[in-house]
Amino acid sequence: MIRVPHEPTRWDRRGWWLLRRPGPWLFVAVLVLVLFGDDIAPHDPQLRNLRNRLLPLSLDHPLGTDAMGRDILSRLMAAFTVTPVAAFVTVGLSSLIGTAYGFVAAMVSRPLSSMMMRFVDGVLSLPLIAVALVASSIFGVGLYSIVTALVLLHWADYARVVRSALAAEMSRTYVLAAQALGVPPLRLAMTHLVPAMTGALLVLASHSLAVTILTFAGLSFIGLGAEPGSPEFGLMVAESRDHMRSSPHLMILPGLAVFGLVLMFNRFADTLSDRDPLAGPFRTPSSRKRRI
Amino acid sequence: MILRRLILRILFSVFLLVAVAVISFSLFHLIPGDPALRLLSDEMGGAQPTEEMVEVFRRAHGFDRPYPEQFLTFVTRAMSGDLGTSLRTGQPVAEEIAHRLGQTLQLASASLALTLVLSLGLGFATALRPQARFDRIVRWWTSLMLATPGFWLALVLLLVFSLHLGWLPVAGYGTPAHIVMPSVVAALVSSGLCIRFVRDRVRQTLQLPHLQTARMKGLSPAQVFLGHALPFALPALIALFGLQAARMIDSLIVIETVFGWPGLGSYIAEAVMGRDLPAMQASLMTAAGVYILLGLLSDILIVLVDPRAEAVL
Repeated sequence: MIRVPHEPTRWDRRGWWLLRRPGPWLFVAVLVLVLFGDDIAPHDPQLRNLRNRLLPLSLDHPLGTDAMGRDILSRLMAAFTVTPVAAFVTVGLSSLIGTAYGFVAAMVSRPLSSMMMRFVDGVLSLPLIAVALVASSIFGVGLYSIVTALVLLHWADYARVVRSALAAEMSRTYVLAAQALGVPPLRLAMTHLVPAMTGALLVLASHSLAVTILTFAGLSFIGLGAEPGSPEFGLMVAESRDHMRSSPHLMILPGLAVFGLVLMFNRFADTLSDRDPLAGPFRTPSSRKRRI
Repeated sequence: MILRRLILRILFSVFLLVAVAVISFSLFHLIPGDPALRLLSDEMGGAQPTEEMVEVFRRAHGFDRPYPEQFLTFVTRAMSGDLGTSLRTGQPVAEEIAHRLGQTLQLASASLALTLVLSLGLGFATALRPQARFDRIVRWWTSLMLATPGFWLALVLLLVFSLHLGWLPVAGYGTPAHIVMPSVVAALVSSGLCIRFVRDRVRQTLQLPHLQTARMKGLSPAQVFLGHALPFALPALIALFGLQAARMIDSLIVIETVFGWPGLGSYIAEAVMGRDLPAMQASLMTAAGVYILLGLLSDILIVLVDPRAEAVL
């Protein structure tokens, strides 16, 4: 059968085709949970009731209760306001710092710029766990320490990507032409260079959102992340380990939530990098050249 | 020229190691509270020492000396293998870590070998026939693996294969059966990224002009692949697996904790839980040292394979 390509209508050109895909709807649902998850939860996610320990699924508690008698559904919904928000903050802060640093490193002259990039190399050669350990022993165990630790490491990724994207762009003829015409550096940056690297930055940011959510959950699981007792995916999995055989859904559901979230952000990043083939994580020729 | 670069690269690693030593030394002083008071009350089993006792202790352990001098003492002691004693067990930390590191290396090499087999096999197979059904299945599989939290996969496999089917031991160390699940989980989690990278890299290489020439002059696919494509793609692959070996430390912390594997990862987790500062300091230095050395090693290997790559050093 020959498939006739769909004739683009006016609605399609305005982006309404997005409504036919599941991704955007999922994204909106996650956004609602992230913003209002603990407000629309049917029960108080922290309320302990030892008489209701490990209840099976029921109408009042659609997903049952945990070993402390807390409602699982409410805790899962509340967890959406913890991990993804912390990941957003991490990615936002580190992309800001890294972009500024990469920008400066691309603009200054040779010895200083290579020294700046050596510093980036140094930061990238520290293991995450070392930095997380240091941060949480100084500031105490909590989400703030982990955000700090992750920002201290992740900005370097952005600095590297921005610098190499800019270095490639600066040698293009249209930038040379603009410089020859006497366009001042700041305006050159704003009109030509920033648009040129937003694709690469967006892909990197959505990938690192996914990775950061995984890292948060993992660190919380070993007790380095969220405060004990707070609703967080990794922590919920860790708390349910003792009851794994009798009520496996306690352990499986929070993991599935993390899995879904990460899958969503990864798909988003893949879609972005398919639209902008130069922006993929391993595809920017200039950014790989430095690494190999 | 290459020798000069090599020396510079080694000096850079040494500099990084010194930086790590500074960080772990300052950990001691950055933690809120007087270090002398904290150590003394730990030694007294949590009791509150008097002001005079703290003063005497501070004098005796050199906490009244200037920081650079304290740092030098710290480094010379660490060099001679004295990393302090663990607050939880009372054993010398250096011995404990040496013991644990060996067991982690067993697990890490097993899972790295599995990762290599999985990602090279599947990566090459899919790169040679892109868009085939097999390629799509593998792509789907890697996107699932990229999204799976390691600790969760470990627990799910534990639930299925140990608790319900009873095929493999739940946790522990010793028999060959114990190493199966932790290494498989670590390999599966890291294979997502590796398969994709190998596939994309080999695919890009196969499209290069000199490979088209090689095919056109009548070389067999095997000759093209082994003689021309592989040497070209090798440096990138070494860089990938060097990085992956280093990243293994981070993922093993969680996996060792789940499976009760007595390695460095679970040691770090125990030190964190028990607020065991000397153990934390020492394991931080060990982990960062391994990380930095692996980076150095993979850079040197790359230069040995690819003479053009000397610029990376």
